Amino acid sequence: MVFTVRTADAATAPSNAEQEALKALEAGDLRVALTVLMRAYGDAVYQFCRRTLREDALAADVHQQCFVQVYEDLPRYSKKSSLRTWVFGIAHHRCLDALKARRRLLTHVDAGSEIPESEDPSARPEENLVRSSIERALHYCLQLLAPATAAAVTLRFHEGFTYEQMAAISGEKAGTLQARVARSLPVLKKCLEARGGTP
Amino acid sequence: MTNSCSRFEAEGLERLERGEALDGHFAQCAECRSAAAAYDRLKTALTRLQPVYLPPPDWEARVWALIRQREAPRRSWRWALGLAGPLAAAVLVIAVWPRAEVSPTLEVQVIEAAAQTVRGVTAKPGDTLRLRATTPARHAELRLYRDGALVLHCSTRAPCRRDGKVVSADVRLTAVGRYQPVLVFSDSEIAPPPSLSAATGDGMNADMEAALGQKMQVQTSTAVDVF
Repeated sequence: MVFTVRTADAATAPSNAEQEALKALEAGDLRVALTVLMRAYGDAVYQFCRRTLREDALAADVHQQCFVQVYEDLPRYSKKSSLRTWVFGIAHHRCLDALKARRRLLTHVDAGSEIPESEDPSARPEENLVRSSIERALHYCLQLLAPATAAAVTLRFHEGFTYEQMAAISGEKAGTLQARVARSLPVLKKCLEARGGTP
Repeated sequence: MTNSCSRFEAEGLERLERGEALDGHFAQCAECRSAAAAYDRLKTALTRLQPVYLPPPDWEARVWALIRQREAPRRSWRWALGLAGPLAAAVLVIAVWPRAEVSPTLEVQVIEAAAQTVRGVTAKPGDTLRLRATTPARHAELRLYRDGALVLHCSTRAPCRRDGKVVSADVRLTAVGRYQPVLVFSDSEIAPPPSLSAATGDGMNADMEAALGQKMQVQTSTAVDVF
């Protein structure tokens, strides 16, 4: 897995993409619409899947399946939410399905073949980028959160979704998500402090 | 922070996430003000966190390949239209099966070769396909088709195992293609799939038609794409 930092502003690019994808969709050109959506949201959706699933191979599979489903469901897109919210909703459900399948497997697979915990990305040898110690520690601490909590924190802070949008994505109540995120913050703060970082 | 007052963590954080105002205590309590500033910095750091995980470089091509694979069989499976009636009848038979305390199911998992972890519904050569079926019938057979051609059929002999109402098998995927698992079950003996003796263009079509024609029940699962 390539380990690099992208500096593209995730907030500005997609709004143009949204228009472009909608235009293609209205013209009935699903292939162009999918291409636009993959370019605009592909990296962010992968980031979300990887943080939720914590395993490269599984995240890569789910991420690809997610965009296959986007392509298949585009004709039924109802414009109730933005395309970005809609795409993340598909990703969210795909990730939950994969987590359930993984849990089922763990009850059948022999001991010793458990899914390995993902390593601390900040400790990868190929990382040669200068990042603050807080950022490195945060990447580590996010992995300690439960998958659903990590997903909510990623959607809220990293992707900048509102709680209403997050509710549309996950099918949960906004209040539940607010409480989940609020309860995760002391966990993250404590973890950061334990790793020598003070927010 | 001395933690002599923990109201900010206990209440303040959630109220802020709900978009609610904080009461006067939070403005006057030094510990709460300090905690609020620390959490503001934490949220800012989370917002500015740079992405560290990137998808495989060829992921878009893989998505298009999957889409092509899914579209191709859809076009060629015209038999499905012709079988709509018999299939509906089969579903009805399953629904009113006299000994239906066990519903037929067919689950599929792909086990990654190296790490023994679960993939989605795509796989690579070398991975293992884990099939697990439950059946209410006396006889059951697992079949696996690659791009419409029969590559496996078994009920109790290896790699299949039967344990009560459960038939399972682990199959190593050696070639690329679309793999379609099928469970055939019946209280009567199951006849061998016709595609074993007669090489046809699409063995799966012939086998499905024969199974339904012989009053056998058929259950399919999600197909798995190996590439």
